[in-house]
Amino acid sequence: MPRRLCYNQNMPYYLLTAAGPDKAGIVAAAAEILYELGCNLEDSAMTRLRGEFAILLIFTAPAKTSLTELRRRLQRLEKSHGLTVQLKPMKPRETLEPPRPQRLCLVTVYGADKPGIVYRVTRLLSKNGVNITDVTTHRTAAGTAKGAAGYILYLEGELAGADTDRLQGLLQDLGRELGVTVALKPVDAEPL
Amino acid sequence: MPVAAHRIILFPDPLLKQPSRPVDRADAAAAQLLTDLTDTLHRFPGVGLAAPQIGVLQRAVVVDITRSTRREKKPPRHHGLIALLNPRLLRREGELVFREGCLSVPDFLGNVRRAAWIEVEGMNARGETVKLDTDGFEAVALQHEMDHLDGVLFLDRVENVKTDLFRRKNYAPRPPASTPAATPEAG
Repeated sequence: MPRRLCYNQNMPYYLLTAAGPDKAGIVAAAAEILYELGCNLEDSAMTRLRGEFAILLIFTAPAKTSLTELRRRLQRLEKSHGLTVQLKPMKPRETLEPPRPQRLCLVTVYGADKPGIVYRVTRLLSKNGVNITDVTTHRTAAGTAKGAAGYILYLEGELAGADTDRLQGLLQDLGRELGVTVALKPVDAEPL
Repeated sequence: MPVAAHRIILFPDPLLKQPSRPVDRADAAAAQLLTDLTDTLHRFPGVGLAAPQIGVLQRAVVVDITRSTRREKKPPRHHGLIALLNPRLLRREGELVFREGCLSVPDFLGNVRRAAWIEVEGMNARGETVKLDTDGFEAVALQHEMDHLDGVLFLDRVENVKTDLFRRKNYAPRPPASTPAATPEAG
């Protein structure tokens, strides 16, 4: 059963996505606007990729505050901090936490960069019923003039009904084909 | 014979995935390898280096955590420069998670779980058996370098995407492989 996270019809949910050149004060500026509007910050993921900072944030707003008003105020971030801002009202079912997954896995891939690493690995996973929840990738600079750049891909996913041994075998085959190191290991996520 | 020192092999060079051979005896070549490793370490902002990182597939490591400039306080307990041939883990206790980097994997960090205390045996440049035990940062550095001898990178030991991975916070342009980078890291 999906768990209902104190969803309140009187407090509509919104998803804010914003990204722009990194500098000190972006989170504070966004949080200040939401605070002044009487909004509650719920779940968020914010990170910096190279010189860009990105915000992915769920918040609730007072029912009396219109979407137009929220947009108007949040769009100030475009001028003040050079962010691209998007605001999406969430449907009630989108605000629910997914059921706790039975099995999580971590897939790590690294080796010389080449086109198709992310595509081939994630296609294999999706064909085998793995639902990806987190992805981090990094391309390293080439070590020497003739040296290849390196690529690192780490992802976490829900295994659902996938057969771990079979999936590991398929990933090993793909790793050999792509010339990269691939590993799949279960993630222990027990509440203690 | 050791190749010329002062160049660090960078990921994705497949050499880093190769297991290293034991050093047969502490002869002049082995002593030179430890000297090359130490010299190279001193030219880079790292606290440790393993022979594969300078292109030599032999079991030799150097660690010197006093080279770390990042820590506010020097750790209370350390051995200064540790230079070992054929290092072997004898005992391990406890666990700690440390955010590691690697001179061979620039611009990337990962949280790795290691033993908090280790006892290691190896051979010094004079061929004498050396046994030492250590904990904390120095233990982490030694384990990281010994992993290199088995072709294992810290990338193999990260356990969780959500909390164990952190991109390097400083994206300053990386100098060429032959010159020191800007921040200290394990080798």
